Amino acid sequence: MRRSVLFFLTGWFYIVMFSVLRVLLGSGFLFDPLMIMMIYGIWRGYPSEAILLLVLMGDLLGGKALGLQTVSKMSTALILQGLLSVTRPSFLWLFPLVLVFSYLGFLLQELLGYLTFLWAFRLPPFKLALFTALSALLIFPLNDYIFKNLRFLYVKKLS
Amino acid sequence: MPKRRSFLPLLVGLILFSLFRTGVLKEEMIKSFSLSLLFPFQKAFSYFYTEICSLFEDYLFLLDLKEENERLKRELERLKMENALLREEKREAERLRRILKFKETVKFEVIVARVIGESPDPHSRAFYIDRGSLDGIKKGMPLITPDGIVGKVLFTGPKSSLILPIIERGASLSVMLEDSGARGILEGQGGRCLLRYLSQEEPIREGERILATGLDGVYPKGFSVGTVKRIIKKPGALFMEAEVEPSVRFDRLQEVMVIRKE
Repeated sequence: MRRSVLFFLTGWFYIVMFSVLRVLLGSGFLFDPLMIMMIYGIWRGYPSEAILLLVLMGDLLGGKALGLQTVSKMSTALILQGLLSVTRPSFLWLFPLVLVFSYLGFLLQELLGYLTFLWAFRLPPFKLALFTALSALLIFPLNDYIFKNLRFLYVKKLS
Repeated sequence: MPKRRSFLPLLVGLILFSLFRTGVLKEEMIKSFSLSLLFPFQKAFSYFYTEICSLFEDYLFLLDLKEENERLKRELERLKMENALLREEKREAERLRRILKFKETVKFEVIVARVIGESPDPHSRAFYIDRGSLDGIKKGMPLITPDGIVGKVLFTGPKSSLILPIIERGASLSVMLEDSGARGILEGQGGRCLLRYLSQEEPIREGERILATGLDGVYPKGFSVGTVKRIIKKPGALFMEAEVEPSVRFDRLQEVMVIRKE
């Protein structure tokens, strides 16, 4: 439970940081922190409920129809879970894996919006998936470091 | 290791999406709650980068320019800090003076607000302002700057609001061209705007200014929206389209005005 809360709070921190930094960075370097956290959560075996809560929170704070991000990201999570249950890729596979699954997630979101008459279909920008995958190379080790150092919060010591 | 696959979260997402899309559940309440959760953190981070970062940036810049002896350096650095602070204040004062001057010329009651963050969804260009329902902001109120129309209020929290800019997908407004008088609908395309439903016979030209008609009942009539960047004529099509360069620089938006009433 505490582990899930910590995961949620870390994701929440990234969302707030990204939201504010977007104003500063402009549209030059955009990535999807929520997608990275979702993939990280699946990769490291965090409960689906914690990931759902975080994705829902991101969905609530975005400007799009509520549930759109949740459905697309949780569908991607499900496919990723399926892949990771049959194979265990090393860290070297992180970049291509995030790149492919980010793009898949964006594509699903675009399709869902199109099928529910929210907008006309167009291919999502590849640059966004690329920057998301690049950012994952930094955020994954950072998350590992954070969770490793805060392990005392959720792991009970054996007496 | 990843846990076994669970379809429950996807199911929850699908149910939520269906309920909100069909209008069974209203987004307002839940969005308002989430905005109030985000606001204090956004405000704090926003304050950090606008005030501290700009001060630091100017300070570093000035440091590169001077070479003085140690005694004078200390004095100089103190002055540099002061100078950097004054520079930022000057920039802000200039922006606010421009807004104030504009505010006096318009016949609307406006609330000046500061942009404190953008949507965490990278696909969205929606952004947050530091004024909410407690300041009298309501859903659907239009936003302007001295340059032109910005967008409208999408959701309000007690102290912050989520704004739908005109460049966002799903945003549209009724517009007319200043010289030719041609009318059309301006649609946001996610970062850019497209002018649609223009009659093929209309004598429009590139660079022509586009104004709001006020017919949509949201945006004030006569305000600048943008200029025609490129005319798109498709053979056999009933209407022509045009790419639009918005009047407002959305990448550099810092202060906006929310129109309360005419």
